[in-house]
Amino acid sequence: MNNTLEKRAAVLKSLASAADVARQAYMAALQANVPGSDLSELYCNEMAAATIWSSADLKALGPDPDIATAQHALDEAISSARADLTSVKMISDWVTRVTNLVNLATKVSKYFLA
Amino acid sequence: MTCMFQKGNVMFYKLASALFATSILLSACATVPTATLQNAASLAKAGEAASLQMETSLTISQKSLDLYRKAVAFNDGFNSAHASIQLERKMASIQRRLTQYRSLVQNLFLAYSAMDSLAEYGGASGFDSAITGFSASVSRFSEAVGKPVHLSAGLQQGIQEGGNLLVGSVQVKKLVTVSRAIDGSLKQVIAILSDPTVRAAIVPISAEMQGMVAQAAVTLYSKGVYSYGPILNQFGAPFGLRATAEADHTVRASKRLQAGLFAVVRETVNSQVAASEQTYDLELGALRALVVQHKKFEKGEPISLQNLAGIVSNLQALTRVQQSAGAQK
Repeated sequence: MNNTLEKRAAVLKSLASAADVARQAYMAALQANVPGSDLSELYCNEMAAATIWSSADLKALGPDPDIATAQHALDEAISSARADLTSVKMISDWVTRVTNLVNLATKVSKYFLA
Repeated sequence: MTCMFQKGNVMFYKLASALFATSILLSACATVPTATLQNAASLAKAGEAASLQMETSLTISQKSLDLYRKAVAFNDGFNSAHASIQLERKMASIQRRLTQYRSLVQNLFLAYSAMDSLAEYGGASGFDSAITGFSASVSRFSEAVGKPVHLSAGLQQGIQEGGNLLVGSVQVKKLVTVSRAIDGSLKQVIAILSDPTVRAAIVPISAEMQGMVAQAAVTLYSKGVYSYGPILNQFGAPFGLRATAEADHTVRASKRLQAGLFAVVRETVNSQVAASEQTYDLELGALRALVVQHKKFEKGEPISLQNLAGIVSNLQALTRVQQSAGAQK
């Protein structure tokens, strides 16, 4: 396996993790069962993260050295969100966090060729 | 009198023709290379078994995709959102490609059936359409996955020549021609399926499917629609244990029990989806094993079908995993 393929696999893994954390956040919010909460925005973000990953899976990674910075920022946000998944209560906070994840994943996905 | 003479003449002519045809048939049979015909029949039967099993697996993969699409529709509906439009489009494309792939496998079965008839009793009616049908399905599939191939006219050469019943050396010659035609198309199918982009275009991302289906199941459970009873009973059955009448109440009162049982749901869905992914690789392996045996047959060497039988057996095992996982839901 050459470096490009390994790099592509690593970036796809980050995007997959972002989609997974977004889903876990939604599921945790659902199970928290906060009265009067609306999860539709969280769900839309979850689907956005899944779509970014799924679309990138069909594409090749373009050459760009700056991807490491974008990927690192995404991985940091994933790690931080994953650590807090057991205490999902404030839905609005999680909407913000997952929106941030989607934005970071979008930046990373731009390095994939159309 | 004239009339009788003419009738007798016709009868004699018919009898003479039949005797002449029989003598040709018998002389041809006397030179039949039995081992070659047996090899051809074995190869054809192995091809039939492999393609039949592949079709069963593809049917199950399509059902898994149906389940995924229903889960997506439910999750969208539950959240009053249309957030999965792009994913839904991707899955619809995969579904279309799977349909073409299944058609290819069905035509492969027909091609091997025709080869089998030719090898077993010299039956040659209809095998030209079976081979042409298979080639056409390869072209359609290649276009569906964006890797169009143009089959060489040479592969079809000699297929359409000859009568409806072939024996002896003519039969063997025709079998080699049929084998080359199937083999040539199979190589193109293998090249297409080996392309990673084609794999991604046919096999959905397992984790994505697993997550979406599990999410729908857990949402329904959390709203009190489902019971964990069947899973609890299945889990306890090997130890002779059965869920109590209050089991669901107990589970709903315990986050830890819910988390544990949710993990069981995920695992059930996961094993089904993982089986779909492994199936793709095994199908590719079966086609490769067939090509190797075609080459041996065409060179007049003895064929060996143990490897292929092993692959088909593994495909059957995966099918059972997919079916049992489906039955649990």
